[in-house]
Amino acid sequence: MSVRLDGTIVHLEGVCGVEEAETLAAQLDETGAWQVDLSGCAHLHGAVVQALLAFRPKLTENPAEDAFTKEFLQPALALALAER
Amino acid sequence: MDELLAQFLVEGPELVQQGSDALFALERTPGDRRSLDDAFRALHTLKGSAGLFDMPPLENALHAAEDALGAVREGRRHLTQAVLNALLATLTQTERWLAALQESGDLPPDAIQIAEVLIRALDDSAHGAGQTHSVLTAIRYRPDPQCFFRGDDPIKLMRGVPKLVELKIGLHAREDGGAPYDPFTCLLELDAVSAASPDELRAVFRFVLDQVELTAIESGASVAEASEITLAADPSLRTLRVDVQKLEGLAGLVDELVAAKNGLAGILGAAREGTAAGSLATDLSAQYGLLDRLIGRVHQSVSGLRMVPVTPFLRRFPRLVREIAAPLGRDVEVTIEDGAVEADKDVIERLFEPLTHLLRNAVDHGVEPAEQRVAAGKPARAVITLAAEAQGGRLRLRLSDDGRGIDPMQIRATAEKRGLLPADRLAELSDQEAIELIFLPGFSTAQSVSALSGRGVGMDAVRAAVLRLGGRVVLSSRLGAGTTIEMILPLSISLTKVIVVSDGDQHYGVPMDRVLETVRVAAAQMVPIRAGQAFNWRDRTVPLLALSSLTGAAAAPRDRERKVLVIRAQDQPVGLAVDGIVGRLDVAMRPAEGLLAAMPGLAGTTMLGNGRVLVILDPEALVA
Repeated sequence: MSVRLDGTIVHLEGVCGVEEAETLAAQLDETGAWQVDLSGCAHLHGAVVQALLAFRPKLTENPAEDAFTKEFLQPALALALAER
Repeated sequence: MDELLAQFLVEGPELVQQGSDALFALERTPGDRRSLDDAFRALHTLKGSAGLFDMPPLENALHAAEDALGAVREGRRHLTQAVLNALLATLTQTERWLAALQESGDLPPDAIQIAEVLIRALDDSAHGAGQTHSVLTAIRYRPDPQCFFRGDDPIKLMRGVPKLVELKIGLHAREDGGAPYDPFTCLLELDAVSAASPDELRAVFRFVLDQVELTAIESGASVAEASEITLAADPSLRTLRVDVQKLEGLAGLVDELVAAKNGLAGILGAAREGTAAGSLATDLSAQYGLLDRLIGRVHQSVSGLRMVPVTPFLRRFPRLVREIAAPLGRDVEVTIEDGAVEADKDVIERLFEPLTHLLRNAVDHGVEPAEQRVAAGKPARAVITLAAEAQGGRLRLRLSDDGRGIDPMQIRATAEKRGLLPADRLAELSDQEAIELIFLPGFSTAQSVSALSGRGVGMDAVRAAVLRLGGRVVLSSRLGAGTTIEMILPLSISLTKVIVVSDGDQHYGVPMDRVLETVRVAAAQMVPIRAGQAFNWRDRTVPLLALSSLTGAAAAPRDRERKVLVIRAQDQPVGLAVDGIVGRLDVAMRPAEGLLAAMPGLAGTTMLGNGRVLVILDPEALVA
């Protein structure tokens, strides 16, 4: 289980593969969840990243344990979502 | 000269100084961010200015220095002693090139080779420290829209990029205008920067090379762009070269002068109305007194503008010492004691060469190699102290080292070997008198002439330069503990240009502003007139007097060609015949004192480099 809904927060955990993209899109589109937490995330597939960029949820500020996610992915996503 | 270049020539040396000050500060406090930024700013501005002119060696050397320091600033390189020395060497060379530009308008012909050496030193110092060369590669990755179907994961690819510096992710709009979200079509746009080379990165992206653009970017350029904002914000780069207070004082005086002028207008009005002469005279006299005082103060203030602080001048020397010490394998630190003294710009500028020579001597002969120092119980790093203070209206400039000191016995031996003094006289000298023998012309204690000190200028030249400025040199030394040389100089001097003439076995100075012309008069052109002689000068018959007849020296024979100074006496040109014209000098003239003051025709005296006194004549009074 890598996409876990907790109230209005969607937690992405572990390795999120291409198949999680649709699940995430459904959560964001249908359940009224508007925040995404990446702290437990070990990898995000490009398709999942694309879903985040398309639905533009608010990201929580919890840093990820995974170094690449924390150092590059989270800042890049935060920057992209802050635009427009 | 090109206005831009002229400005660069003023600003350049200041930037060199700022840069080296900051580098020395950085050496004392490693990692100090402020000093690092200051040094970088100075180098960056210098490079930018150099780029305005077509001088590739200067620009390339500065560019390499900027790159090296930029790498340090970004933490990609350590600031080792080697890097620091290479940076300082580049700044010193820049200063030299600026001087050459000032003089000839162009860089010297060897500039290209020197620049190559500097650039290599800057590069080597980086590799010597085990650092990788600074390359940045820009990655532009536009994944194929169908890539998800092929099992590609663009994020996973980015995760595999070595030395990733920055990552940016975006989403581009669908070309077919379809639904805003389509989980199966990849719309990602990825841009990244890596410190790996394009070749390394090509291996990472080998399966998607058609979707990737790799561009090497010059790190120097990106650093420069990044620092543009801070550069513009720094006001310290624009130096006000005259103390604002001095200028304000002058402006205030000008206001008072205007008021005094208006006072005159009132008196003028009274005169027109026929006010009695006696009353006018009283008013005029008061106004004259006021103007006289004001003009005196203006004169004083303007002279004050020539007074500049000594410390910035002294701060040029640590860099120079580093350059001298490095090839000799000496480890020397220069400390500067700031006495907050101001002195005449002329005095300070004329001290550059003597001080340079003294520092060379101190490093070359005074400071021992590190092993010897440690064996003698001293710190390995030698300290040379430069101190300036004002005392009793004189500038005292002190240079002391903690080196081996001067050995009086060795000096005596050398003096004997050189035949400067007979052995019995040498034995009679006190130790202090013995060490002062180093000021004799032709004296050198160096066992072998080194590249540095063996340049044909000795301590005698130093003393001569100081004497010319109306100063003196005091030497003290303790064997094993160090040497101190103190130069005691006037805070300001008024230099007079004189023509030095020879007559009989004497030399005299004649102030140049009294001389209308110097001419050569053949014996046949001299016309006897009554008891005297005359000659033809610009269609006038001008009396010709022999200087020897005026000074009371033996008269020279009249039947040969003479050099003649045409001077003006009581508004008449008069020829003054001398044996020869030796040259021209800028001298600090002292008014004649004591018995000399009573002698007519004597304007003053000055001390020559060889320690002799040159009598300066007042030709007008002499002829009268």
